[in-house]
Amino acid sequence: MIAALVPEGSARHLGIFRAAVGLYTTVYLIVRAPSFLSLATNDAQRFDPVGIGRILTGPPPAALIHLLFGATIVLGAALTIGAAHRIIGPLFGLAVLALFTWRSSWGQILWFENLVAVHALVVGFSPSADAITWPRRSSTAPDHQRYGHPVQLAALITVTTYLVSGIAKLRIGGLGWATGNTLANHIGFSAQRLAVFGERQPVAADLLLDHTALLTVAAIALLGLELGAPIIVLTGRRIRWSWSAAMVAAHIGIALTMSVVFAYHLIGLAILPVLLARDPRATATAEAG
Amino acid sequence: MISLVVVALVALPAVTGRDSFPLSSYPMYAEARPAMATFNTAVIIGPDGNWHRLSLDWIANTDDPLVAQSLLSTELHRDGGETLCTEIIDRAPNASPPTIQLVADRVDLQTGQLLTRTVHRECDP
Repeated sequence: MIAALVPEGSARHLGIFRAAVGLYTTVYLIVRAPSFLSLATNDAQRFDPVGIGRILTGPPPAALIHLLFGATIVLGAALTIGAAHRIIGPLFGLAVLALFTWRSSWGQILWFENLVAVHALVVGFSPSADAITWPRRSSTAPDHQRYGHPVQLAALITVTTYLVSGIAKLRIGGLGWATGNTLANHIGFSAQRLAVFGERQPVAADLLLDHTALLTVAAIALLGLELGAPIIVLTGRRIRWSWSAAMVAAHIGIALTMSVVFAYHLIGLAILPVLLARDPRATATAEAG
Repeated sequence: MISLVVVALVALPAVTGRDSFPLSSYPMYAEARPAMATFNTAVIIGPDGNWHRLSLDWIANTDDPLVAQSLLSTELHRDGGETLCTEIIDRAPNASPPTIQLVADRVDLQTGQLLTRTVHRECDP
């Protein structure tokens, strides 16, 4: 039971997750730089702080945002290679939280950044740079709970987000959500929202809108994947990989039919800790043996 | 134990009902959506009287429809779209100020057919 809650893990797995989060965040910030920086000079009246931003009475000066933005990229690069982690790690986690919170404080919370920010805190405040570093460490740290716990925690956070999504669908949409019509209307809504802004509609929207039976299967499958997510962290490797592949496929489908791109999820980083976390049953068996 | 605390924190906004960051309670795509919807947007009226839709970038200086949708809603509520009108006209590519309207389009989600249009404001050039 205790092994299931706090499993041992390898420094290598935690290091892989740290490097992945660091690299993703760094590249993401560089690619999305215009979007971030254009907000720095936004009309102050539009500032609507959320989360830790509520301590502010107004938007921070543009110069401070530029400094934070640049520093977060540098910290992200340093975190990716595992440099000076005791200092860089926490600074990176807090910088990402501050920057993403500020970006979501202009009237629209950008939900695709939530999980990245939480995972950045997990890798930033854990001993995630005892392996997979540059330059490479000469000694290999033995498996320990301090490496297993952060990966398990990140995995639990990921599956919880899916569970909450599944519960919300049933609680708000009811069983009717699982009908193809509801999903068709969501796809249609996303397509028409783009259309009213003169943008190109999602490539696969029309294709699926003509096949509501297929959409019913997709809706039921998605509900099953989301509601079953917490069980995944207690299962073996094969089921985890199958579930993870299905979730990535679901995000690809959502991107193609609705143009709703959760890049962190789409490329598999959201579910990476689920794959890296040690099977608690195997740990328990090893201890019993 | 720490895991349970963090999981509880992640679930907290769902209990409090207040959307926030990074802990959010927004039930994305959870509702059983009807087959019609109304969207706020902006259109340009040509000299021939025909209308054309404005891009995300022109309306809201963004490439994200969520951000543009939220901005339109907020600004229409705040000052009836007056400030946003000024910004849109300032971003117009041509020197001659165009005729811009902030509108609410009711659309059939399956066919894309425009059902009704309400003009919130005609932007003064």
